[in-house]
Amino acid sequence: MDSKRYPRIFAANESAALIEFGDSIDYGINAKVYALQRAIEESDLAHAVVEMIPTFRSLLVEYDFSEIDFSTISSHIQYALSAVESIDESSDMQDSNVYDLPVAYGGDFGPDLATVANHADLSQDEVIEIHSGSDYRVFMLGFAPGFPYLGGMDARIACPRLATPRVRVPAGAVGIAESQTGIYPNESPGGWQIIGRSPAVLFDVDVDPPAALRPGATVRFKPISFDEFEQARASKRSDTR
Amino acid sequence: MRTSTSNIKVITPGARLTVQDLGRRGSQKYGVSVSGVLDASAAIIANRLVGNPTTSAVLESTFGGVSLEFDCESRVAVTGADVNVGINDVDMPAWETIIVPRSGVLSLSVPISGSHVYVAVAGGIDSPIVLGSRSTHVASGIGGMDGNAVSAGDVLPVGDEASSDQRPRAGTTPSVDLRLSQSNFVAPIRALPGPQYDLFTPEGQSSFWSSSFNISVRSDRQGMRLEGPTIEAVGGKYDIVSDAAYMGAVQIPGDGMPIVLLADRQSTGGYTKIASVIRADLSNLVQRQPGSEVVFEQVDIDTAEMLAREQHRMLFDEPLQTPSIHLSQRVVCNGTDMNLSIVKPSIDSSSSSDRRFIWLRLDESDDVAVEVDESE
Repeated sequence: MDSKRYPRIFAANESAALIEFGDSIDYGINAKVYALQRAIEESDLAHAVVEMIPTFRSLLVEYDFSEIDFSTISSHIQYALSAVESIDESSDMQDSNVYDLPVAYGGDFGPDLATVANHADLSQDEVIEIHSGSDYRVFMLGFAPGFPYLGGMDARIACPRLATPRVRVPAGAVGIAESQTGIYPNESPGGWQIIGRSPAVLFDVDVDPPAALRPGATVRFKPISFDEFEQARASKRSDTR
Repeated sequence: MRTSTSNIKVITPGARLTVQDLGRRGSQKYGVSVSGVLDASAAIIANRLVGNPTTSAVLESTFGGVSLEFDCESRVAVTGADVNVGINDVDMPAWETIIVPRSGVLSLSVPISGSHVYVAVAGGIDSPIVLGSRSTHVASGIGGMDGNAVSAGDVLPVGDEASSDQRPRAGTTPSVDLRLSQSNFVAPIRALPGPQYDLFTPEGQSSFWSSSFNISVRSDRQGMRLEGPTIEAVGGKYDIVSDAAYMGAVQIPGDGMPIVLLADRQSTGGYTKIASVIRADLSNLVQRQPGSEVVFEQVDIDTAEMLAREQHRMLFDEPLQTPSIHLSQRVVCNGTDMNLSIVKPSIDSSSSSDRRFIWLRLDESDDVAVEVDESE
């Protein structure tokens, strides 16, 4: 792709500026997105900004058009961009925490583990070993409240989506879709191959911030038994006020 | 738990009735949808007509057919789609401050034109605030009535009304007529080229601006689906690495049919966006009924900004028109000398039907609607 195209500041509409750093999934591009978000949060512009949506490779800045117009905000953003030019994948991200997410693989918790294993020509245990043996990067949250887009899955366990999406995927379900893996924070419809389930709570409107995982964080999946899953669930229930 | 002084009991919710305000802002970075009213202009005016802040929660009805019982006398305004409004079966005007008496039933017909109707009540719908908003996002179960749409039998709490000097009188109207009629719904919808405009072939781009699309019945609060010619992307590639989504973005998924992203959109999406509907034309677009036509017209950002500012001025800065007192007379009521006023009787130039009621005011009390026998 033409690298001179980026970064690009684009008028998405009269109250949203889209800043694109590229069009691929890339640690360095993603780091620039969050660096710009931070720079804008700390700038004079913050008062006119309604909210920002960071993604793999772009930042949407939604602003109050009655306070500022596109040409003014884009010159401010241009200035902020100069400070993030040097940011790359080695620079500090928003969150360097490592989250260990317990996952009960297979059985009723992972109805598609066998499908993924067959597709990869591996045993179910090998799929679990590979899936839980990698570090995953949270690139962004989207699709549903608290849903993390994770990068870094081993290509050996990639698997196409279900031909017919499920009407109901339970909260905590861990799935694979093509070369991505993810975890459903809440019950929702979904077409991912479900290989396990985590008792971890990833989204709670009564907690600030409501999403447990933040972009830049590292996620590791830690295999647990079905009994351990039930125990974790039971203790969570007694925690709740 | 707070006990509300005033409640609305839902008798008939119609096709879909939800609690909405101007949306849940600041949580899209966590993957939370904005939701909120589809037609912000109509909701803002409805709130102003009852003396609420424009951020108060209102009821949004799609396709009307609603009846609501108010347990206390309430200042109400109905805006949005063109519906027949009734209080206890007496015709009442829309886009105007009206008073529902204690135990009165407010009814909305199905729309004559338009899709979404807004009911604002003084004090606002006082359902719980979740992540800074009362808006309902049914898909994620956030806001509104425990994350759900409103059902028959639900009791909706109403908040405290503004102080009495800020309460618009019955008969108050906007000074600018913002009602949309069938003639508005044939106008082109103005849009800017979208972030992935260059990923469409010249034929695809020209087909987008020159074609007439039909609004699909599969449209919902998340997106308006359009049917028409397939819009061709370069190399047939409609997927992009997930990008931010926003109100009015026109995305083209793999089947080549446009979807205009609306209030319940996800915060991010992986389809190419060919265009962005300008803010000033969103009400006109969302109010069109399934089966209606949509034609897009390209404008530039300067035009979009100018139109947005003009609309903003009309919505927020234009004063409301207070009703004139038609007749005022001293009367003796229960042994006390009082002033009886008749407020703005049956003259409504914008409506073809004659009014069947007048507002009576006794001293500074709230106005009472009185039915008029037209034979006299």
